Amino acid sequence: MIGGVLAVNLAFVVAGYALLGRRRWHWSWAGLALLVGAGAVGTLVFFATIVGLHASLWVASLAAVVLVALGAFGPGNRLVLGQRPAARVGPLAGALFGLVTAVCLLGIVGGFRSSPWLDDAWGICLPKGLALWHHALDPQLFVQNGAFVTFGVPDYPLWWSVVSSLDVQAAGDVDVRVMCAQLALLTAGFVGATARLLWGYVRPSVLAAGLALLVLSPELWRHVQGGVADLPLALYLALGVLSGALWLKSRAPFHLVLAGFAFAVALQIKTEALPEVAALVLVGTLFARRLAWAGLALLAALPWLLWRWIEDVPSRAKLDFTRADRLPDAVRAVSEHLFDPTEWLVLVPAVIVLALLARRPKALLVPGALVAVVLVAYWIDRDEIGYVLATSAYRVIDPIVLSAAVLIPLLAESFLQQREPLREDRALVGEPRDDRRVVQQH
Amino acid sequence: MSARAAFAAVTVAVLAAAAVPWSDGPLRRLAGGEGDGPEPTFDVPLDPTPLQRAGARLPDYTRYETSAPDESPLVQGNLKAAAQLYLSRQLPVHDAPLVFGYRDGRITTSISP
Repeated sequence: MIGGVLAVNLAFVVAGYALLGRRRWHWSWAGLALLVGAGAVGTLVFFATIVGLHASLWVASLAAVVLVALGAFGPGNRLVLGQRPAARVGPLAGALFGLVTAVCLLGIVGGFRSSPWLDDAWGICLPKGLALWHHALDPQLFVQNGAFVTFGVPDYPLWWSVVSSLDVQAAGDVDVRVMCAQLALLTAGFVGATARLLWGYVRPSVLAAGLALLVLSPELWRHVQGGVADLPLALYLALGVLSGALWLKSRAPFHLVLAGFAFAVALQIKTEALPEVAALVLVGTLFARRLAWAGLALLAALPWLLWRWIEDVPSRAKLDFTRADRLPDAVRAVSEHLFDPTEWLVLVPAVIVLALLARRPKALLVPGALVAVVLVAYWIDRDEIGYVLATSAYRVIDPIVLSAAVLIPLLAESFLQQREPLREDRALVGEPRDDRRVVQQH
Repeated sequence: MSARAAFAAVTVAVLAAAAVPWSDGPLRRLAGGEGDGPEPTFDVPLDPTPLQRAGARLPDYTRYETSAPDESPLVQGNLKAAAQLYLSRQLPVHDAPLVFGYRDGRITTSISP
């Protein structure tokens, strides 16, 4: 099982590096390469199933080859980043990076040794992926009918099912631990990608402390070991948020393209990604109108929406705004999970405090928009509110928390700059004009 | 102490702390504790071995049914999901001669004429 999952992820990394372009062929981009490769290959295979192909390793290999070819001659090689001054890493930052690395390594070990505790993971997501392998997207199995026993939540897109299925195929046997292993690798990749993208934009001690706060959150690794689809959704949404925030500083097309790509992948993971991406793009346009280009990602939702329309698969959510009495319970449950220090430490309070201290309250619109989407979803949902909150509120907040987590280092750096405006290392965090110098970045 | 030395020292210290065999702290839980097997963590007592064997032995597209009318919804849900997991080459239908049932944590198999 270990070799199979690692082989699949190695292919993801290769495809990711190809898409990132030669300028980023350096070990420090490996985390982002994994997220990009997994996102792109998983999405292509998912789209392939929509047109009748099977979600097999052969189809995935073909998708990877196409992506590598696209990367070799594609626009990734022309997407340059301004050079950031080399940051000096002190012993404290070094120790914190060591802590982050060790926790991620242990998290990966734990992922490979854990069977997902969430029954939706092994009972719905993975069986769907295995059916896509053997039967493709056969409406008999995926659309409710009188003859066949169909899968639950038929409106959910199938990226997580596809990726899990590829892992099982590579493992050679049905081993549900592949789901946690895959999530652990993606989560560690996300931490590495965040570090790489923020490097040079915030001082190393701030970056290391922000990452430590994230990886030490108990709920992060509990969700890894649960196999929950909300976590990869959160990883890609947060990657999009971070890329968009960095684009505001760099104005580098690479960051804007990466934001759009991450949002496009998020749309293939869960249905709530559609309003969440729309809300985030809307918030982005309040910062800079050109961030609306990231909204092109919404087009990536069309293949699945079209299939659902053709096969008459309705959304589970019904627009019933008459039951506003559900809102107080939803607000209470979501708040409890967001602010409970035994779940996500102080990630959410920290982003609020730092946004106010740094005089950047507008930044709170990002997690705020995601909170609004979650609350509206509970408002219009049909299921009994107590049940649905108890079974989902703890995990649908993942995108809120991770989006807050990637903003923390940027806000902390902004606050520190304001306090020490004459420091010599102000160049470290730079001004937008610094980034327009087109120099290769490693 | 240099940053590299601090990085290495903390990384090794944390990994070593998690490897201490008698510790039962958060680091050990992070590393998966005692570890799980390849089967799902079912919500009810359920040995999936008969389903695994059937999944390997039955031809592709064989139609089967799961039925546990006297059991709780949780048992019915776990039985259905386990069958869809291990019988992914076959086809689950509402009415088939081949029926997988459930009794006292065990999967039963019956074939009606």
